[in-house]
Amino acid sequence: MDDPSQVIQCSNPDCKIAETGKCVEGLDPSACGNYGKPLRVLDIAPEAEEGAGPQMVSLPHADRLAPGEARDLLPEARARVIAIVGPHDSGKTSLIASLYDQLQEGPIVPFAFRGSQTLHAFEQACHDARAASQRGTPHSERTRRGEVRFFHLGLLHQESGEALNLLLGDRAGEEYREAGDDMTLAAEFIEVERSDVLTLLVDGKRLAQDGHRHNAREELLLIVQALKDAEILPNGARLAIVLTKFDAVMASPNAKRVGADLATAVARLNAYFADCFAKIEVFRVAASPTEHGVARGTGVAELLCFWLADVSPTSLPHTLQVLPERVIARLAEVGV
Amino acid sequence: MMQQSVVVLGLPGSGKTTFLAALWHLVFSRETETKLRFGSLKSGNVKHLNAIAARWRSAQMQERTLLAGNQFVSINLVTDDSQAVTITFPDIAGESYRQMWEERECEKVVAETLTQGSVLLFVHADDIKRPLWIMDVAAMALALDLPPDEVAQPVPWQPRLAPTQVQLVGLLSLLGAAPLDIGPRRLVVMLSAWDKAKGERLAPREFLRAKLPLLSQYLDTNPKLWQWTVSMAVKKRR
Repeated sequence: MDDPSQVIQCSNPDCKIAETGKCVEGLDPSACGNYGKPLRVLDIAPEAEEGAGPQMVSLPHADRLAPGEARDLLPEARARVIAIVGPHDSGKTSLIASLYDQLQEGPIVPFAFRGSQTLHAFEQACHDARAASQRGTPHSERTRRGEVRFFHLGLLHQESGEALNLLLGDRAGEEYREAGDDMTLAAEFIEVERSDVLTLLVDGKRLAQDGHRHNAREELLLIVQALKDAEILPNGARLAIVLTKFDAVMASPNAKRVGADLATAVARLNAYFADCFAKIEVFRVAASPTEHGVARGTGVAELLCFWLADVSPTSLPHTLQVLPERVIARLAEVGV
Repeated sequence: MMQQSVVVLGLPGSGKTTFLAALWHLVFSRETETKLRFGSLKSGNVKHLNAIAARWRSAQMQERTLLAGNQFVSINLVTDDSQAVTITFPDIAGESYRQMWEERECEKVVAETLTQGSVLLFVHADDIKRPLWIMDVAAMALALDLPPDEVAQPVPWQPRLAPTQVQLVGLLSLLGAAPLDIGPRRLVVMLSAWDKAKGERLAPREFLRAKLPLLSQYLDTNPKLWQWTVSMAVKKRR
């Protein structure tokens, strides 16, 4: 049996010396005033003594926003709603996390971080690519099925001084894919119906694999066709076609073929759906590389600028008049 | 008599209590000329101040202010033109702020305190937790020809794992939203243990921009909410 006198203890609640063998203050135990003393609580407040605990006040959550909560942000500043659409594991969560990650290192010129109501959600999205997760390779948490939720970023255009709210739709990739089998499912995609930019993800890793490349291309067409036939593609929206996992493409012996496959897919999307979108552009992104040699976040800044493309000093007067009304009107139409 | 209330904000171990101790010593000892001078002990809650100043003078580390140990102290001062002014400093436990960030709630008495006055935000200049990425660690190991770390059981996400600047932005955002919002506030970002950060050869504002860029952006882009400046405090008594 252990000798009770040998139990390691410290009065500092932050110190885990009993578990780690290290003093949290970096001191030698003999020099630490807290070592060897029982955990101490200062001045117990009367309400904590017994019976009822202290009266608590609830504060706003920091998880992804429900549609109604996202709608509440619209009057606060000009909003951009981005639908990020792609099959399961196409890199949606990594893309969202990477955008937030880059802002942690400084502005994405010309946009500076102004705030976020979803800090917990962003942190959770980043977690599995961080060393704190103790994983060997970066990983992304799978988005669960259910009602769409939104990530929020408040940004400031540093040249115009205009405040913006970016709302990034987050829905399980399986649901987008299944809409290709059953178009009626797309009726629930309010994030698409009210989007300013439809962002279509193409999984670069799958496109580089012999057994998956054809399905990866066809799924794109299937998803966009379902959204069109369900009549939820918003008028005047723009389309960003994003080749994700660009690091995996670059590391693949089939990199050249991927380029050709992507060009074919883009040509077909242009041929069939050009009239549905005000503009179509292609991006190559390595949001959370698992291969060395490609910088984390490659292509993300360019995509952000496309999402917010008309937020510039020259185009500001026109967009300021038009956009908020358009977004709010869409929300009213879809009953959010 | 003028009444001023200052909210002292910061994560656990950021130097809030140490600062209060040094401030009280400076004012009460009257050894150094200060703009605001000691007034009296009348109706001021100085028991806590005396206790923490005694520890500070004997170069002892301050005891961690636990959740149950929130203290509310008042200091009676006199201005240059002999006006009496009482400054209230709630010494709220860092644990309370951790609870706000992680559990999204706080005690009612803390909420009431946080809806008053200006803010002193403490940041330990030598204890800033930044995100570390798996691929960056792997690249570093590769460059140094080190074997890769053994893969352990994945650790689930918890709010406390967030980088320092994210938690601070989160706390300030809570002060700018209902039910704690009181409109524009004055804010001083106090970089504690500045002596340990001097090697960076950066001015405080540059330090903030370089080491806490998200917080720096947040403050720069919210001038209607925060009228702010940055200052520094050294840890050791000279």
